[in-house]
Amino acid sequence: MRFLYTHQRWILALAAAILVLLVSNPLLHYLDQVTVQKHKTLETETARLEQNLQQLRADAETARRLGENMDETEAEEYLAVANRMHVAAILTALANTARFSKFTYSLSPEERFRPEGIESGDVARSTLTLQADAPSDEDAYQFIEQLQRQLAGRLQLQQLTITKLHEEPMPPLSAMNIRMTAQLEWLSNGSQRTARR
Amino acid sequence: MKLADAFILIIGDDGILLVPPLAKSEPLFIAGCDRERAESLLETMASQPHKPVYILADILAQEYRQEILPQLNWFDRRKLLARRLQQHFAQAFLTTALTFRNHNLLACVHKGGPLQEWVGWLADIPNPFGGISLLPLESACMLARLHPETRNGWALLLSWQRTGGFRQIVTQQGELIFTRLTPSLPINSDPHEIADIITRDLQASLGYLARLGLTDSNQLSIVAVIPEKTHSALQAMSLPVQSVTTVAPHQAAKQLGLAFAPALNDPTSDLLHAGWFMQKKKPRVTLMRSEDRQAHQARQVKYWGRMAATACWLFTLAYIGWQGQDLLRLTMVNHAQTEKMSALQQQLADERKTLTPVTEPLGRLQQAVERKRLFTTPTPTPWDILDDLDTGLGDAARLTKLHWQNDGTESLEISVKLANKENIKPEERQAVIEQFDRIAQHLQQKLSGYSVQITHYPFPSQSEEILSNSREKSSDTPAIADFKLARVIR
Repeated sequence: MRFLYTHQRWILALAAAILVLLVSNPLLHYLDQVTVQKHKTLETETARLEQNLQQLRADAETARRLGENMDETEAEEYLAVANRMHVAAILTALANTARFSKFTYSLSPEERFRPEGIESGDVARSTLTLQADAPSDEDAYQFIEQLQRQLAGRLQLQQLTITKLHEEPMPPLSAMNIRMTAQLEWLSNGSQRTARR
Repeated sequence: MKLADAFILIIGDDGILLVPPLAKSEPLFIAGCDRERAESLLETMASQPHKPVYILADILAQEYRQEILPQLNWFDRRKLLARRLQQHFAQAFLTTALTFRNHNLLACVHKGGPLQEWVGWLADIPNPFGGISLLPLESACMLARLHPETRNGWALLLSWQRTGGFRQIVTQQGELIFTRLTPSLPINSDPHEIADIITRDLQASLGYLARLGLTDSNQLSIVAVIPEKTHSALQAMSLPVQSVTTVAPHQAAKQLGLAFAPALNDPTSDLLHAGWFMQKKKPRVTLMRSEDRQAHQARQVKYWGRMAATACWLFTLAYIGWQGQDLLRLTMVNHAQTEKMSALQQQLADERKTLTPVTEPLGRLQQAVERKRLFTTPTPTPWDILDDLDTGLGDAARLTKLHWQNDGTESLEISVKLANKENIKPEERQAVIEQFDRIAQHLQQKLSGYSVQITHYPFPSQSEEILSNSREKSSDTPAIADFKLARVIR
């Protein structure tokens, strides 16, 4: 005890130095880890900001370029929602024009999916099945072409069958000579549904 | 504790000389041993309490003895030397022992006299006490430096101290073997008288040395550090020795390269011995009382403890600095990164504010462009092949049925009726087959990119069909054959 009392100052200084040395190692390690982590976070955040800035500029450039190629009216046409009742009206009108008899159609429920290469939003797919008796095969072909032109979206012919109904000689012009059955795939923006409570 | 930074107290029987650290001020001399007169020296030393005090003893009451011990390990030799010291110097004030190559030297200072008094008085001042060193032992090695030829063989150093008198130090092979102190003379004594006294003392010493092994006095070299005026007188004395070299104290100090030297006219060598002692890193021997030794050891422990604590702190700080260097650099980088990030955030906010009206319809525009691309992509249709088919059939045949399917090959199945034939009689079959084959060949030529194949003739004729005459008489067969047209994929 007397030794400790006599030499207390340097012993305390030595002990303090050793203590600081022992404590400093894990403390510095911890601080180093925290700083490195912060550095990584800052780098990530900075990279994200830089990317956002570049994206913003690229978006602005793209918007300018797209704006030059497509005006608002055309964009509205391509983004217009489908109206299934309107489709029914078109079908009926075109069938009347084509002088079809026994005209039947069915439009399957919409199936939402995202085609390859499409990034913004899903597309609706429906199958349209047609059957009718027509004076000639030309009437059937024109009916399908007119339908493809008038329906918004894309109407792709999947299957077409034309069967001659009568044997020779040719019947009068008003007669129904052929029977047409067709199946088409209709891609559209889909019908807009509104839920009300 | 460096000797150069210490007070050196040369204690002799005739007086005391205090040499301040590095002799920055004049040495103080007092004659005799009186506490009252000693006060001035004690006060001088106490004025610098951190400076240690070493005693260089040049008293008569010191004794040396050679001892030859058997080969022992270090511990046993220490024990045996302690026993021999107790045995030979039982009544001594302080003792010590030195181990040389071939022998051991036991030394002691006896009780009483100025040395013991001064050791007691030094306890009254706060200065650390460095211990007592013996002048003959400390200055024995001076001989080899003053006169290198004396390094081997017998040599004698003679010097005159104001504090003690004429000190003779005899070495053999550079190690102390004998010492003798003879009374001093007045400072202003006649040179011839001094030379006479010295000669007489030296001749007396030769007798002692003969007993220590110096059989031929001509082997002895003498170096006399005496006043210059005495040199010629001593050289004139015909001493029976190998050589007598004389040197003045001032000149000797210069020759030894000491930090300070006695004055040119100073006949005594006290300062020479003090200077020689002070240039050493540590004394050759240190004699201390047990209480002084404990205090000395405590000071040593405290000194080395402080050194260790300082070194440990320096190491700790260096380590923290070394380790913290990267941390500091990274912290500064982070600071710069934070500033850069703030600037970027501000820039992004500004540009968003400016470009939002431009970029806002981007989503709709992009979607519209995608939809346009999707909805306007051309899709397979049968119109082209139907036109070609119409041309290919011509007037020779007519379609009764067609079935087109977008199954990847855009295949077309058709039923064809010959234009000029309603029913086929059995004997006409070969001709009908040939007709249909011609139609197929014609179609193949017209429909480039398609393969044309007749899948069924109006009657069984293919290798996988059953050929029979059972129905031949009952009815006629319409002239209709089935074709399959498939796109050739290249």
